[in-house]
Amino acid sequence: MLAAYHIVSGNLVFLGSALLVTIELNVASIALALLLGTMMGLGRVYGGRWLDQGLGFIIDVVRSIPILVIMVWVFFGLPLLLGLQNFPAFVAGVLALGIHSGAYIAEIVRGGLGSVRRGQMQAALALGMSWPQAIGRVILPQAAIRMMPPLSTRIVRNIKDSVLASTIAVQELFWAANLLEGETAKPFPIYTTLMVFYFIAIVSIARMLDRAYVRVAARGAA
Amino acid sequence: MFYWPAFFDAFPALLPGLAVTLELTVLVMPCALVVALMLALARLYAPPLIGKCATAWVEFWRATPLLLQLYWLYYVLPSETSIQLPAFATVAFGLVCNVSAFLSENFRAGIASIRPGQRHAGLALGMSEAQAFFRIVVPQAWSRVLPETASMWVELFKETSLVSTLAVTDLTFQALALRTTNYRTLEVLTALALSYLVLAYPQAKFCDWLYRRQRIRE
Repeated sequence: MLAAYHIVSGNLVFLGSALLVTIELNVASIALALLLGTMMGLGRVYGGRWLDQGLGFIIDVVRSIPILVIMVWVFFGLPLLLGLQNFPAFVAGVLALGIHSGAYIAEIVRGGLGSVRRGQMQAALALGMSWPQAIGRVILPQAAIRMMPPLSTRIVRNIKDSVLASTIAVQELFWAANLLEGETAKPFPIYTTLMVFYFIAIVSIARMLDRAYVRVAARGAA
Repeated sequence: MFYWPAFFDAFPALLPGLAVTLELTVLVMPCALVVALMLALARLYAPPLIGKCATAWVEFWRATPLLLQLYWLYYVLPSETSIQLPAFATVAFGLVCNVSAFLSENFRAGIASIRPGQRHAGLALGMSEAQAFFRIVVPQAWSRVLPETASMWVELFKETSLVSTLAVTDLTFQALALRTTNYRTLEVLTALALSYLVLAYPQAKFCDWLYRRQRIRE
């Protein structure tokens, strides 16, 4: 305990900036994943048969490759393919996590949209709404509430997966912990403290998302 | 730009790693199934104190990053205790703990979803508790937990890639090692991604089929 206290208090600024990177990494990648997932999910449901099959294949491909492999491929391979110089690790981390979580979110969005009864769309169209209006104002708001529980699972998973960005030298919390472990050779206080930190953070975020869902759940009931 | 011979040459070099990846997956899954069942039973039927401990254990493994768990076992255990395990055994142990925690949630929900009347009817027919559980509850719960369990298998197959960071010579490790010797990064990493894809894609499709089949039956 004392050793952990000394290591944390002696490196407050360093750990603070690493925590900030972890937060930025997660906010950016979850935002990207939600954007990609919503677009792909809408494309699969309303884009016709060919788009559905094409997107379905892309989503299955992304879901079949481990996130670590996607991460190293995006960081080391993509710049070579595109001829980029000085590709920042942070951007690679955001892209890899965003694409990976996005593929899973696309399936959640598809399931959510599919769960809204057909009559809702027909009623909206009969009232003179255009397709985008009907989707944006009638279908998505109902589907969004039902998508919340699996979405929170995915967000939590994204946070847990984000420690893998340390392998491509994104200077986030786990990277910082490894560096401190290398300097001090005290794995016990460092990794245990980080473990407790992640446990508390993840359980709190999961509870928070759960409570948000309970508050609106009734409005999404079929 | 993309040098095809290096891409094709990468596959034979990755093969020994694939053996380790499969070995790890095949070894971890049965152990995790047994542990998960025990955890689920403890949470459903054991005295409250034991049930609470099982819940806390499961929550811990579910709410922390796997990579951190593996690092903790790999670095802290040998430095703080007299337990000295080879890297392979350490990561296998970590994966069993992690996977069994997720599986136990699935088992618990599956068993709890079978109405108590089923068990009561079994008992009323003169079955023992064990008989009612294994002959009435388990067969019904089985079809409900099967799709999720199969998904967990695919998940585990992919998660084993994390062991490469702890010098276990799996598929990912071999690719990252090959990359540093032949400098054909793009070709080697693409071959790596394709290897996982070819192996995991049919498994994922099989899981989708299991989910669809279950939806029709219920």
